[in-house]
Parts: sequence; structure tokens; C-alpha cells
Amino acid sequence: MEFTNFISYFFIAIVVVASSGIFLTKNVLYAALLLVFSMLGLAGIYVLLNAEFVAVTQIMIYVGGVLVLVVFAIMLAHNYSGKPLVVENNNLKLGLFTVVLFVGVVGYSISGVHYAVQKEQDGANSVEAIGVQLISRNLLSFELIAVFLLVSLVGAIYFASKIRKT
Amino acid sequence: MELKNLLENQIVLLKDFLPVGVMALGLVVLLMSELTALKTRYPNAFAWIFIVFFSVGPLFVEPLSVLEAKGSFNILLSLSALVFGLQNWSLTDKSRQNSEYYALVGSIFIGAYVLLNTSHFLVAIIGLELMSIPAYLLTCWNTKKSSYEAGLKYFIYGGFSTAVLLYGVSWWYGATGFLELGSIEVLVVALNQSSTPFVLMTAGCIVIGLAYKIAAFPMHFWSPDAYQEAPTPVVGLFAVVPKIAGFVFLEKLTLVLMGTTHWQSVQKIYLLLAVLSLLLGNLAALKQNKAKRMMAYSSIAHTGFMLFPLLHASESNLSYFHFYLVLYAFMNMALFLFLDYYERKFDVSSLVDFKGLGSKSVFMGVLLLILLISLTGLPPTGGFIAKLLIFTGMYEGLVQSGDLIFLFILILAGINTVIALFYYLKIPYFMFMKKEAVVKKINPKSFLVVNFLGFILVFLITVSFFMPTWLMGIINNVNFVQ
Repeated sequence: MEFTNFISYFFIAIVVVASSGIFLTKNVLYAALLLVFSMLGLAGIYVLLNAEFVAVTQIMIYVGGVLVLVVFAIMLAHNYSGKPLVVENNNLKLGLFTVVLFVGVVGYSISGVHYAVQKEQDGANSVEAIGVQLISRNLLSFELIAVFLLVSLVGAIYFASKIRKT
Repeated sequence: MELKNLLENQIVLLKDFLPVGVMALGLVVLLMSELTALKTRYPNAFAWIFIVFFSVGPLFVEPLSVLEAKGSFNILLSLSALVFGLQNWSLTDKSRQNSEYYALVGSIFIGAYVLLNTSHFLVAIIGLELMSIPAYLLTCWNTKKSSYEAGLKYFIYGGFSTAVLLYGVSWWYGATGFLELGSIEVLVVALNQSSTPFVLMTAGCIVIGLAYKIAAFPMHFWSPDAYQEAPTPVVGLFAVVPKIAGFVFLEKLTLVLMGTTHWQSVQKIYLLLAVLSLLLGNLAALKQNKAKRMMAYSSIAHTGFMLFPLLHASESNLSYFHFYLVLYAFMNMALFLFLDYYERKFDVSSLVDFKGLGSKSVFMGVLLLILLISLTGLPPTGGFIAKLLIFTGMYEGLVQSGDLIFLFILILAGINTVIALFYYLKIPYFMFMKKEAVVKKINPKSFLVVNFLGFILVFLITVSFFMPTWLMGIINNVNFVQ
């Protein structure tokens, strides 16, 4: 138990450091790479919470798919302009104030929580159980997400073709 | 799990698919018929396909398992699809004859159906997203720079509020262990064990996430821009469909929160949202000079009004709430029908453009006048009865709970009704009192269907003044929420 706690703090530290790095760096490429670390740290936390499926999808979709795309886009933009993409950090004081306020309010509120949900036991939400759920009880939600993706795709293609025409 | 059990489950679940399936089929038919020569032969074919699938789809109401379709706002959804289809059917605009246009709007209807009939948070979030993404795209539909800007604004607010909603929902799940809102007693017991600040934060996150869909105060910034830039029939949808769906879900949430011991504090969130939406909506509407923008603020003010009954959600108050919701839907459907008519026929966009149009089309002018009186909440229209019922509900709240909040609301709502009079009656003032300065272009095409639809809706609104019990009877007969 002690060891698991230690590892989970390790992962949390990775997430916190990487996420604050995203805000502190001005180079967008560095920010994207730090986001990879943040996502990997989150995946580690999911594994420790016995949510292997979420951890694997996190790595596959975010790290493997979305972030690779982001990095590609940044590198292409970099080649195009010849300069590294740089952003400015505006409203630093206001931002810090908001963060402190947010952490204070949320921290104070969640200190009073009474959890009804216990940590899942090993294998309780294995991939198999999720698969069965997806095609039985949550079939409708699953199909609705399919409709959602279809509609997003149709909209994206419509606007892409329209912009090319004009 | 055994295969037999699974299959039995499937058969039960198939009923869930009927309404959504009909609408999804409509989506496919719309997209497929783009490939055929249908469009060149019958320019309005898509509107007809839309009407057939989307006004019939929501009517297949069955007691469902994941979706709890006991609510009957579905009829309103179907009516709204009918109005939208007919409104577009009578248009000749090329950009509205694409199947994509109808497919995106169809997705808004699927999302609204899902949100209306579910009490499961995750399904509700899918519904919200099904409504949001097409809404962003439809806001940009005119492909002008300003409409992209409005769409982007809408998108950023939408993403932010969904994140806030999901954060609240995850804490809700942690504290209660349920994502369904069905079993109220269990949820109340679970929530009572947590501290008040915690419930306040969780409920606050969820309510603010929903406030974006109903365009209430802290999340209203997208709405004036989106209303201004989106095609007018679509704006009519923005004002009606997501708002009703969001409010019905909010009502289910309120019924749970109401039972907890934290309700006294959680009530303050509702109060803050309602009062600020009402004040901001009405005061900002006074200064507008574009018709659609003004109506966006008016719809924010109406949101504030509709939040009041949820503060004291007794049985009678909830039926007043439903009455207002139904009338609000009628009024806004009709309103944007008229605005679209004037926009196409006389090229009207700002309030000054209405100058002297009263004598050009007397019939439509008078109908619009009745409608605007109803939106203000004056007799002899249904809007008056709706507002009166809200006031009655607040008075009941004052008597039953002795809470002075309700007295404050009564006074504030009264003052705001007077403020609303000033900006609503600006349009009839320009139409009837001012002489026309320059004759702008007049589109010769007749809009018979729109005229007829507008007449029917205004007629319904007027009838509900003389026979409110009739509409109330219908509303009370169908069980709206569980």
C-alpha cells in the first residue's frame, strides 16, 4: 500500500509539473511535448486506480493520436514561417489570482465530501465487462456517439469544401 | 453474462431505438439524397424529407429503460421540426437547400430528444454535444468573417461549460455513486452526508454547465452574437429547442436537490442566475438597435423568468413552469418566423428598418404586434397568463415558506415587465407610427406558408389567454417529468 501511494504521488507530480510547464513555456512545441508527459502521468494514475481500459485509451487516443497531430501541425507551421511558434502569457496576475481562488474554493468544498463510490477491485471493470456494457445496456449511447461523429464529420467536410471554393 | 440474458436485454432496448432511429434514418436519407438528382428536380425535397422524419420521430414515445421517455415535450419538439421545415420549404435561398444544412439541424433535434428524455448524466452530455457541435457550425453558415467570429465564440463557451459540467458530474458520481437522477430518495440520502459547500460546488458546476444551453447569466455571452449571425430559422431553433431540453433536465436535477438539507444554499445559485439573467437581459435589450440581437437579450430575460418557479418547485409551481415553457416556445417560434419574413421580404435587419412597414403588410404587422404584446406579458395574450402564473407561484412560495426572497422576486419581476415593454414595443412603434423614409427592396415572392403558420401560432397564443385551462389541462395530463 505504501509503495502504491508513493508511485501515485510520483505520477501526480509528473502531471502537475508538466501542466504548469505548459503555461510557463512560451514555445508551443515545448508545450505540446509537455502535454504528452501530462497525459502519460494521468494514464499512470488511471492504472493505479484499476482503470486499465481508460489508461490504455488515454495513451492510444491522446498520446498516440491527438498529440502526434498537434505536434505535426506545429512543426508544419514552423517550417512555413521559419520561426518557432511563440505565445505570450498575458494577464499573469489575474490568472494567478484565479488559480489561487479556484484551488481555495474547490479545495475547501471537496474537504466535505462523503464518498459513496469505493475504489473498484481488480478486474471489476475489465475490457470485457466494458465491451458487454457497450453492446447491451449502453448500446444507445454508443450509437448516439456514432451519430455525433458522423454529424461533426459532415460539418467539417462541408466547411472545408466551401472554403476551398471561395 | 449469459448470451440469453444479453439477448433479452437487447429486445427491451430496441424500443429505445425507435424515435432516435427514425431521426437518425432521416439524417442518412438526407445525406444520401444529396447524391441523387433529387435536388435539381425538386429544390424543396430536403425540407420535405426533414419534416417527414423529424416531426414524426419524436412522437414514438415509449416507456424506456436508459432513456426515460415519460416526458411529453416531445410533441413540442415535433411541432418545432414541422415549423422549421415549412419555414425553409418556402425559401429559395441556395445556401439553405443543402442536405448538410438539414442534417446539422436534424442532429440538434436528436440531441434535444435525448436530453429531454434522459435522466442519466452521461447520456445527457451526449445529447448536449449533439446539440452543440451542429449549432457552432450553423452559426458560421453564412461564411462571413463576423459569423465565423460568432461561431468561434459559441464554440469556446460551449467547450468551457461542458468541461465545467463534466467536472461537476464527476464529483456528483463520487458523492452519490449514481449517474441517474431517477431514484431521488437514494440520491438525497447520499448528498445529505456531504457538506454544504461541497454540494454547492457540485450543483453549481452542473447548473452553470446547463446554463450555457439555456443561455442564463454567466454563460450568455455567446447568444447575442450567435443570434445575430446565424440564419434566422436556425435562430428560432436556438431559442426554442436547446432551451426547452436544458430546462427539462435542470428541472429533474432540481427535484433531487430540493429534497436535500442543502437546498437553502443551493437555492441561492438559482436565485443569482435568475435575477442577473432577468436584469441583464432586459437592460441590455433596451440599448440594442438590431432586431435579432434584441431578441437574444429578450430570450435571456425570459430564461431568468423561467428560473423563478424552480426556486420553489412545488407541484403547482412546476405546472406553471411547464405552461410558461410551452408558451415561450410558441412565442419564439412565431417571433423568428416573422423576423425571417420581414428580413426576406423587406430586407430588414435593424429596428429602424421597420419604419412604415405596418401599412405595407397590415395582416403580418398586426400579428407581430399581438406577438410582441404577448412577449411583454400584457393582456389579451397567453404571455400575460404565463407571467401571471409565475407571479402566483412566487406568491404561493411567499405564503408557504415565508421567505422574503419571493417578495423580492415579485417586485423585481414586476419592474422588469415594465422595462420589457419599452423595447418590445419599439418595433410596432416604428411600424405603425413612423412614415417610411426610403423604400427598400421588396422581395415579390409570396410567403403564404409562413403567413399561415404565423397566424396559427399567434392564434394559439391568443386562445391560451381566453382558455388557459385548456392548455393547462393538456400540460397536466401528460406527465412531464416522471
